[in-house]
Amino acid sequence: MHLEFPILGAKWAIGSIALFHTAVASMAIGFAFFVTVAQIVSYIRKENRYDLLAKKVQLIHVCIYNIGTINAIGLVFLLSGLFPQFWAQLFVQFYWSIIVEEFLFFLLATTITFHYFFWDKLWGHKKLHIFLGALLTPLFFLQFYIINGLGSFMLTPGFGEAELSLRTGVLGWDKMGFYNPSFLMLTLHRTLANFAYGGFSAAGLCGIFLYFAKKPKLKEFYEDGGRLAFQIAFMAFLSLPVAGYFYAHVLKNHANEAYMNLMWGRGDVVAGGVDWWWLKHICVAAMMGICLTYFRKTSSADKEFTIPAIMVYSVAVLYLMFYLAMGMVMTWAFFWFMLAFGVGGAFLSVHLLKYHGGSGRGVFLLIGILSFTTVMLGGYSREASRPRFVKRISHYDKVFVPEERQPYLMVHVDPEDIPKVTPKEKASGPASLIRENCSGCHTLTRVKNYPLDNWQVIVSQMEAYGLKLTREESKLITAHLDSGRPY
Amino acid sequence: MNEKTEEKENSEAQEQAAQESKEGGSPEKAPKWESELDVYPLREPSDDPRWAVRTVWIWTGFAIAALIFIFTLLVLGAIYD
Repeated sequence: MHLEFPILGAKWAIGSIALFHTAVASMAIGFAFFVTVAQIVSYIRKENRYDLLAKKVQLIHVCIYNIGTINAIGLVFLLSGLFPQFWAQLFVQFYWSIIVEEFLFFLLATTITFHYFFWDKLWGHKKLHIFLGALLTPLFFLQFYIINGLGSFMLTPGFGEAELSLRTGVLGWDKMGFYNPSFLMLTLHRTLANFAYGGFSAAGLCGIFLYFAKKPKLKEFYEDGGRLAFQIAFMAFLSLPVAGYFYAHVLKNHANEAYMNLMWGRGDVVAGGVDWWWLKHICVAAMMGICLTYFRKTSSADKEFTIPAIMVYSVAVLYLMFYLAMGMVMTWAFFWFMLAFGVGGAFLSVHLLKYHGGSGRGVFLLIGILSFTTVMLGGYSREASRPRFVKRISHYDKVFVPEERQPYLMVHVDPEDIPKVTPKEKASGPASLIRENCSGCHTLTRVKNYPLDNWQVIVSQMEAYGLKLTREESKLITAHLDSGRPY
Repeated sequence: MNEKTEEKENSEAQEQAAQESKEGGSPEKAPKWESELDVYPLREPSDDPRWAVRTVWIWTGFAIAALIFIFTLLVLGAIYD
């Protein structure tokens, strides 16, 4: 069976729904962390505004969590329909991981719902309410810890060691495949990236509301709330380039093709003439410039959640050295581009602050948009750089289940009880042979649209790819295709 | 803090918000929650509806137990194949 997705095609259908899922799911994780921090700050200071902001963010969180979950179901449906063998292979190796993941969905959905809808009912038990919200972060962590096992397995499957753990262990739990070489760095990078993305998105929302707020009290509410979100995001964001550097090292050693595609701009990483990974790095450098300038400009003002100027300068020097080192490791063009966009971001930040009379609304909105862009570009580049799964899993064309485990998957049936089925008459004639053999891997339209006439070479190539034909069948097929007769 | 004190504080906050709106001369309509900005409305635990508190306690207990269970699974899964 071969299903195809209309218009978009299978690859882009999966790609677009997966990217959309990344956009909402990562934001949900970041929002959960921000809500807890804002609630704790509010409780310590006994000021309601941060708690109010947390409540507004949590309402959006409830919505996007539901959208993300439904979207995840769509992703599973698409994968199981369009790439059934791939999905079946993942089930053989990670069945129990996926079951635990599903249970975590249930825990999270209920916890978020209770946390939001009991907000005003628990003012006498505020600590309990904050604790309930704080539970979301470890639950989310566990959830993407598990999904990262599968995600990183697709990038670095562990060179077949996975099959070894399947042979000896629990069917549906592949330890070697789960804790594969890139698992740790992916998890670390994603944790920090989600915190940064959630915080920047909350700041972006404050920026939007600031554009519409006219009363000083409301302006102050969104300004301070936005700065708190911005600061949380910035702290997480700072660690990302360093985590990313070590992540790239793991790819260099364990997923060299993906590493080459990213670093040299090869394969699907470049689409429409644009190197999307390079563009992501440009956005990151611009964000660094924007953040540092914003905190430098606010450090002298008597405002909450600012960063001392000396710390801002120290961070700036540290990252200048980091990018200098990256220039030495990669290319000097990388260093100069990042520096140029970092400085450009800094100037833009100064301009926006001046233009809005010191208000951070422009900067908040811009950082929210850039953060969203980097998450999208990072997600796309990661998946686009990965060589096709089919090329690396030798058992892709036949779902791998260790033989000694197969009896457990079988239903006990007495062979005598199985009704006799008359075998289908085997097709004969060259036209039938073409239909049967070619459509095993691709559509017949592909054969019909083939522009050249060298059918003998093509048929030999197909045999090299794994097509099983007798010498006689091969001759018949080639002659029929050469004659141009219908099939 | 009982309910009466809380209501009084809320109405004071609303009056203050209305005054600020006049001073600012802005035609913007004050959102309902603006008055809540000035108070952190902690109250006596006994003022919370019991069913809500019980529900959240039960759920929190279940969620923690589930977290421990999943964590144990992960630890065992990391040790044994």
